Parts: sequence; structure tokens; C-alpha cells
Amino acid sequence: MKTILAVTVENKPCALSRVVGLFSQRGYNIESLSVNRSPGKEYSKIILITHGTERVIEQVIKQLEKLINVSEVKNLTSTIHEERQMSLIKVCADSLESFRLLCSQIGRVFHVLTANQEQNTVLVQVTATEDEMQNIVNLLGPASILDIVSSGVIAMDTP
Amino acid sequence: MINCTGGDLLMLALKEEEVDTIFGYPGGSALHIYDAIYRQSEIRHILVRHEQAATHAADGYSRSTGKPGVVLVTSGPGATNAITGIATAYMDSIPMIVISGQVPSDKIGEDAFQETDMMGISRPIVKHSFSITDPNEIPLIVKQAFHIATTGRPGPVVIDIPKNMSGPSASYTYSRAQSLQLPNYKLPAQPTGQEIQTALDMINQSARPIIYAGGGIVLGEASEELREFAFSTGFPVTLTLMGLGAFPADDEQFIGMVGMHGTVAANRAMHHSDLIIALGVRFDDRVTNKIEKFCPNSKVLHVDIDPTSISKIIPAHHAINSSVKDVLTDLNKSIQEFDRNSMKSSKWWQEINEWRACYPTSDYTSPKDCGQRISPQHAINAIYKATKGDAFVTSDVGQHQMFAAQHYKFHKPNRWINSGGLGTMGFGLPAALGVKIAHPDELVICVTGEGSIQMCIQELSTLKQYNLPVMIFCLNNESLGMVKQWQDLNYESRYSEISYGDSLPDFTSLAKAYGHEGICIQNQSELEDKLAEAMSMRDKVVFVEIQVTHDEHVYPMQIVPHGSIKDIQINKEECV
Ligand SMILES: Cc1ncc(C[n+]2csc(CCOP(=O)(O)OP(=O)(O)O)c2C)c(N)n1
Ligand SMILES: [Mg+2]
Repeated sequence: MKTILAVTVENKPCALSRVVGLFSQRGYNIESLSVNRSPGKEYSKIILITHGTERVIEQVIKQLEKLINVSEVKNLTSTIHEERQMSLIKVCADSLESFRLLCSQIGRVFHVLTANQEQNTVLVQVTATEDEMQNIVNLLGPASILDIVSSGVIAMDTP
Repeated sequence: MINCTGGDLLMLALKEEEVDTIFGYPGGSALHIYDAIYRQSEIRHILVRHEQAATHAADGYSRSTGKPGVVLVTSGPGATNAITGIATAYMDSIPMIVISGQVPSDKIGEDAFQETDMMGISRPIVKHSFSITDPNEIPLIVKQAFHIATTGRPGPVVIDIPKNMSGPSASYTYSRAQSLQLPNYKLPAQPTGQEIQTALDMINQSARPIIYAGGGIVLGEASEELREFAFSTGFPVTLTLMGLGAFPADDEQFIGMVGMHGTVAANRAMHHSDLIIALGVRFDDRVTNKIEKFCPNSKVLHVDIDPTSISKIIPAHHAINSSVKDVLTDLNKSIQEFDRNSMKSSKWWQEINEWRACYPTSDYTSPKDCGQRISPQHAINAIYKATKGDAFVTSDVGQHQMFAAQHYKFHKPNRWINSGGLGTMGFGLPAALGVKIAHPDELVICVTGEGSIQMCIQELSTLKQYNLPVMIFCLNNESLGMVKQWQDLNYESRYSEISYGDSLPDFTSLAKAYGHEGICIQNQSELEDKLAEAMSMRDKVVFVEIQVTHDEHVYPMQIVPHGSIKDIQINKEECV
């Protein structure tokens, strides 16, 4: 079962490594990880994706809650939530026109950050869910992707 | 107090926590702290001979008193030497404070002399850890560390102190930490009425109940409550290795230890029960044997202070995440009208008593057909008698440990002190040292093997320095007996690396070289007299080597890895 957890953790030395270390120590896996400081700077929010049976997920949550620096663990999978991932992709197209055409076929908003006319390469930014992102990458085709870098998934429960 | 160094702040904060003893070993990064130790007189420092021993001694101190043991080591090798002892304490949930020196903060990360990442290395084996970034934080962090170590499920806490945080370069004013400031530290709530009622319903509906209690009873100081609960209900009681002493071994409701080397009766009773009342236990693999075959018809009522222990291995039908003491207190209030007599005369007890009669513990302890050689089980029985069953017993790890657990009958909690979770050879002697510090007037003995004792034997010197008369009983079978047993059972007796040739030291001379007494017992016929001789020297460290038979196996033994809890080998030939 794929599970997205939102973990609020105090900004203390070692706090992140305690969270991440817990996973390797207990044989759980992290598929995606994204961390950033909350506005007050006293806390950080960690969004992570893990896989496991219901029992394992229950243990993961309890183990996380037990960490002294962790203030809250939310299982977003069990609530209605929005999730997003951002990718920067360097694409090589036959021509920029054909790339624009491809983009419109894919039906997503690609922000073109830079375009190199001579070499027909563009650097684009795209935001999507994890599944959609996989789809986009498939449609672009591995042959035309020169490089790709993706953020961890971030997520939030809907109001 | 004004004009304090960071080291002074540390000592004052430790005094605030009523620390009377530190077990430690000095070195560069800890020197400012050692200077602060020198300049005060209320806290005693015990200089061990190896940092591992400092942690085990603090551990023994803690297990025998319930108070956290305190360790002080230097950075680098001092810190890494402490790791085994921290892991040992962690696995058995023992409250401990480990203060490690660290290189100055501006040197951290530069591979400075004796630098090691203590926060990183210790992270998976501590309940929590702190690194000091400002000496002014010391009083608060010490307070937090003690609180974390001793509350909830206890455990070791590390405080890493860079050298410049403890030194005299600036002076500070000590002010006691007022509030804890641990907003995110969660402790379990009191049990609710509904939780207690559901437990009572399960208890009332059960025809074949069993109380399965463990280290949580000892740590949670709930032995009295357990005894009352058992008395009111008349239910059979089994204990884990860690729980021994939490219920008196000579009580007729005690059916023996559960698990790998537990009694047939206890393991069968678990298997055939319809209700397991699990109190302060964690369904360790050394208890359950194969999970898939675990107690097929039993409901599980699980009480534990640690939420992660609940349903981790065996799903609980009803769980109460509170302290066992609180839960038992509440249960005891409601259980008064329980018909304990009809329980006592039930078919369930009849069955259990038949198992008990069929496979009595005494089968193992009578002198065996081994001529003049002494069997280790018999040796433990003789030690039990010689010490009148009233000693603090520390143990090392191996066959002798299991024999001690099986045949030394513990009647009180905090008396059986062994490394159950990590199984750390070398634990016994330094742990006995720590117990003796805490209980100078009590009889403290260490049951060990000729393998284990050599892992921390240097502590004989510490015992001498501080005049700590503990009695050491070394069951010498001239091999790593427990390993040999597994090689007999699983590797057709291919004995790979379990003996020392003829290199074993003469333990009697060795003990004497350290300034102690040494006694060697070789024959059955001299066992009792020589034990009595040892007991007559209560004011000395006496190293008693007992030469025991070489081919003994620990039985009963669960059949691993595919057996259920009740599939048991009872001697070299028979399984039941
Ligand atoms: C530090 C450590 N290393 C290895 C082991 C594995 N081990 C478990 S029991 C044992 C043999 C112990 O020998 P001894 O102390 O002579 O006790 P005996 O079993 O012979 O009574 C060993 C090597 C261990 N538990 N701890
Ligand atoms: Mg041995």
C-alpha cells in the first residue's frame, strides 16, 4: 500500500536523520522525500512516501510519533488531499514547433525556462502528480529526454 | 552559583537529578568535565578499566535500583567503546545517561584527533540524544535527558559535549532548569474505564487464561500489583527471561519461564490458552517461536507503555497503551469478586499441573550420572542454596545464563540482571560492579562462563580499587557452550571455533594476581563445602571456578526455526 505521510518535526540537530534513519533501521522504505522549514522556522515539514502492509504502516506511524522531535504525523493517504511533484526536463526536439505540438498533445502546461534554438533543446518545468509525471515522461519518450530532475512529492490535505 | 565552567554546570545539573555515582573513563575531550569532578565532592566517580564496563556497570546500577545509571566517556574511542553497553541498555529498556566528550565545536567535521560522530553512531540505539551548542543549555538538557530516560518506556540517552562547552574560557551562572520544554514528548495516558471494562469482559469470558508478564513489570515497578492480580484471579503466571523475579518463583501459580528455554508447562499453557494477558512484554522471537504457529486459539489482551510494542509481532484483540502498574491497579479494584477457587480447581489448572508433573524442573538439577563431574544445572542449584536464594544475580551470556534463569529461583524483582535483548557477553562482571555500588551491603554474585568472563575480566581491577566484594561463579565447560550446542543441533557437531585449546588461564591464580581470592571446584563431592568456603569470605572478591561437564545442552529447548511455541526438545533424545 502506497502511503503519503506528513511529518512535522522540530528543527533540532539530528532530527531529520532520526526520521530517515528510522526507516533504514527498521527495514521500511522511503520512495519519495521532501523537506522544508515551516514559516516559523521552529519546525520542518517532511512529506514522504512509503510502501507497506497496513500493519507495517501502522508501525511506521507509531515509531515516527515516538521520536522525541516529532510533533505530528498525518497519514494523508487516508484523507482527501492534493499532491504535486515538480520536474525540470531538458528535451531535445526535431524543432521547437514540433515540441510545442507534442506539449499540446500531452495537454499539460510546460513552462519553457530556456530554449536553445541552434541545438533545438529546451529546458522545461512541469508540475503534476506522481502518476501523471510518469505518464508525461513516457509521452515525451526517453529518446528525447536529455536530462531530468524531479523533486520529492509534496502533499496537503484539502480544506 | 556563579563563576561556573560548563563542566561545573554539568555537575550541578547532575546533582539536581540526585546522581550519586558516575561510571567513567577520562580522556582529552572530557578533561574539563573531569576537572569539574575533581572540584566537587558529592558525586562519586568510579574509574573502570574499559568504557564498555562503564556502561554495563551503570546498567547494573540502574536495573538493581530503578534509578538511571550515569556514564562519562571521552570522545572517539571512549565513545565507541561505550556503544555495546548503550545498545545493551537500549534493547532491555534500561534508563541510562551517557555523557560523551566531543572535539571542540569548531573542529567538528575536520576528522580532528579522537573525533567520532557520536550522535550518528549512537542514533539507532538511544531513546534520544542531545548535542550541546551553548553551555547555558546544560542544566535544561540534563533535566530533559533524565526525564526522557526514565519515563514512558525507559532507555539510554546520550549527551554529547564538545570540549569548548565544558571549559573555563567563559564563566556561567548556574540556574536550575524550571520547565521541561519537551512539547512533543508523548507519554501514555491513564487507562480509561472502557478499556478496563473490555479487559474485564475478556477475563470473565476466558476458561483457559494465562498471565504472560515480562520486563515491563520490573521496570514499571508493578510486581505487587501483578501478585495481587494473580492472587485474585487464580490464573497461571509465566514470566519472560526479563521478567524473572517479577512474580515469586516459589508461588504455586508460577509455571516457569516461557520461551526458547522455558518450561514445557509454560509454553504449552501459552499454546493452549484461550486468553493471553500480556503485561509489559513484547512477544520477542525468543518467546513466540514461529509466528505463524503462535497460539492459534488465544485472544491477546496486551498492556504496554510503548505503543510500538503493541501489535508489532502479534496483533492484539484488545490493547491498553498505559503503564502496567496503572492498568493492574484498576483491574485489581474491579476483580475482587472473581471466583479464584473455581479457577484453581478448573480443568485448565488440572491440565497444567499434569504438564508440570510430567516435566519437572528438578529433573535437570539433581546430580547426574557424570561420575565426579559437576553438571552446570546442579551447580546453579547448589549456588542457589548456598546464597539462600537472596542474592542479586548478574549473568553473562550463554548456557550458564540459561541455567541460571531456569534454576536460580527469583522471588523479588530487580534481582536477576542479565542482557536479554542484545545478549552481550561481557555484561556480567561490570554489571555486578554497578549493583554492588548501589547495594554495598547485599550479596551480589555474577554467574558467568569461561568465555564471557574474559570479555570484561579487566574489571577485577576496578573491584579491587573500590573494594567491591562480589562473588563470581564461573561455570567452566572449556568451550563456548551455547555455540557448541547449536553446532550439535544444526551442524552435526562440526565444532567450528568454540574452544581455546589449552590456553585457558588458571582463574584462581588470575584472581589472586588481581588481589582477590580464587577457588577451583572440580568434583561433585567438594561442591557444597567449597561453596560454603566461598560464602564465608563475604568481605572479599571471590572468584569461584566450577569445572562442569563439557557436553551439556540447555533443555527444554523449543524446536527452531519451524516449531510452534510448544514444540520442545526435552533432552538430547526426546521431543514432546
Ligand atoms: C559479544 C558477544 N559475542 C558473541 C556472542 C555469541 N555467543 C552467545 S553464547 C556464546 C558462548 C558463551 O560462552 P561461555 O561464556 O563460556 O558460556 P557457556 O555457553 O559455555 O556457558 C557466544 C559466543 C555473544 N552473545 N556476545
Ligand atoms: Mg563456556
